[in-house]
Amino acid sequence: MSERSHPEALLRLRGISKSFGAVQVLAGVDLDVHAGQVTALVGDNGAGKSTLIKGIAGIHAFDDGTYTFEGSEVHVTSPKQANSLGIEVVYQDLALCDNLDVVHNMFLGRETRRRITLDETAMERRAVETLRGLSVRTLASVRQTVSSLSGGQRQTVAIARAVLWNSKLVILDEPTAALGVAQTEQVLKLVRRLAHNGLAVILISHNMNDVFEVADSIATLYLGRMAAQVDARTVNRARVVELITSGRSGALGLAAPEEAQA
Amino acid sequence: MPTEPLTSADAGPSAGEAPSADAAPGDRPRPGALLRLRALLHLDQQYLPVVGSVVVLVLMLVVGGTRYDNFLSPLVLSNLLIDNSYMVVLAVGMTFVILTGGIDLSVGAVVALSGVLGARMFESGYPAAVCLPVMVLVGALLGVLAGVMVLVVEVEPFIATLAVMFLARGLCYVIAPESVPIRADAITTLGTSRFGAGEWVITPSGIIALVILGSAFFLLHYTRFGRTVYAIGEDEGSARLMGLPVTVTKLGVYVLSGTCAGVAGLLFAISTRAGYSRNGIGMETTAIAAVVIGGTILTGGSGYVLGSLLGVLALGLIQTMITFEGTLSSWWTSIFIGTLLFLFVVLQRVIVLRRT
Repeated sequence: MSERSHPEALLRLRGISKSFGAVQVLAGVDLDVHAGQVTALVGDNGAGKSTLIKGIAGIHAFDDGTYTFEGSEVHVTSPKQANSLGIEVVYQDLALCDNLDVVHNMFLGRETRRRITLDETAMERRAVETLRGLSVRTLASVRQTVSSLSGGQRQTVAIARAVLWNSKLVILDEPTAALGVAQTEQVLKLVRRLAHNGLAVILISHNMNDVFEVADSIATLYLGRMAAQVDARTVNRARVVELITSGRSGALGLAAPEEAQA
Repeated sequence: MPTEPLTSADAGPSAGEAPSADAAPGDRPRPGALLRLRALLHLDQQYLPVVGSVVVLVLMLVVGGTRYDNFLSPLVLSNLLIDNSYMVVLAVGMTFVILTGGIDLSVGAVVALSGVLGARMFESGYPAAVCLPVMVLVGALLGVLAGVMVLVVEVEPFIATLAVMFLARGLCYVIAPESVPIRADAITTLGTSRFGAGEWVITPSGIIALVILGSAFFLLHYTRFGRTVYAIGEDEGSARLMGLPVTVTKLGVYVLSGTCAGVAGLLFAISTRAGYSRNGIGMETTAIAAVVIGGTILTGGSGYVLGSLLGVLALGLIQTMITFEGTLSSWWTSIFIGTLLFLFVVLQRVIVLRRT
């Protein structure tokens, strides 16, 4: 677990730009993500949140800027490469297979093998350990199919899948978007626990309640630019909403004259 | 973090609870005992279609056994597997394709092509060591073609394999429009050998079918490839997001089905001792019917190769029963298959609806 007092950022982005054809989606974005902290990434629709995380996850490479992970500059160009660095993404549309059980889903694509056959016992043991490490007690059995799980439980499995691989950075794309109140609470606790266990977490959310409940740091994107990344304890909800909608709030945010033209 | 009750797993909109409902009658006994009882009686919904296949098969055996003498004799039951060994192999390959949500319409024509090609090669004096592998490989090659069309050109599996079907059928007529007898010793030996204990017998073809079935079972349930097949069938998009090798696996599935069709062509040639261009017409539909009656759901993601064996045996039993009946014409086979298929499709629909 890292200290709060000026630790080296696990992920450090500087001057990130990305265009799709003539459309500049990201322009000079800076972002610091620390281990043991939840960094909320907020912004209106089309602000560039998805593009930013897809770049971090290696789905499409950034055009410009530096991407530093664990102190060394990297060029992440494929999801596999991101995975091998210890970066995992839990996508909004929950990439899980309904017809397979919890263990199968957690290991899908990276199954533990004994020679060529799957080692079910080892996988089940590790799945149970991982879920226990996350204090997940809501699953009756790790051998039930995912189709029988509730939305919150599915999200739990997706997150557990992400932390199974000694990951260092877990990116969660709107993990509570489709959940009820109790289930949202359950997932937010889990998010907090990930950070408590020493992982760096990027949480994308539209829900200010969620953000203020779990985030240590709040990064606000506004029209493809980083309006501000601030300590969550130093701002209130109104200021963050102002940053999201207008790109600035008092002394924070983008300078007044150069309104974003992107 | 507070300990949530274990039963909170039931809080969600879980459709999977339904089958175990009868295991938890009225009053709630001690939770421990209840859970154990449920675990014991719990039948996951995905096994339901296969249970249907078992029920149908047992029912047919009981009806046949009470109606006809000698119906349940070892010889009749042995022949059920022997006569349908090529269909078992076809159904195994088809199961893989259907599990990924695809379909392979080319297999009947590939059976004919494999047979005709083999027959011509034997006629030209090639040794069995060359002919037999070629008969299998031609299927694999056409499987590659279908797979490439599906994956690279992104043609619907229905159309891609339909094209391969026409191609293979056309090639048959190019090679030999007429029936070509196979007189090679190897084929005769394979066709006439019998192994057995008492009245139970098995032929080399039956053994090949069972070995392929066993290998397919292993591949599907104990390897990463098999796991990926199920994942693709459930949701190809999710499988891609999870970083699974979707393209390679789907290609593999069509190659597997093509190879199985090649083997089936060989087995069919062994049993008929000839290669004929008009063989195997409609065989692909029978294979699909067997897979569906065996409990595999056509939209993919759910099913078992052992179920497909049951499906083939059920279809074979219909034929056997009609033979035993003596007075019924053979077209009644189609009518019975149609009825059975209809019942199973309705059953599947009900299961899919209940799941959502």
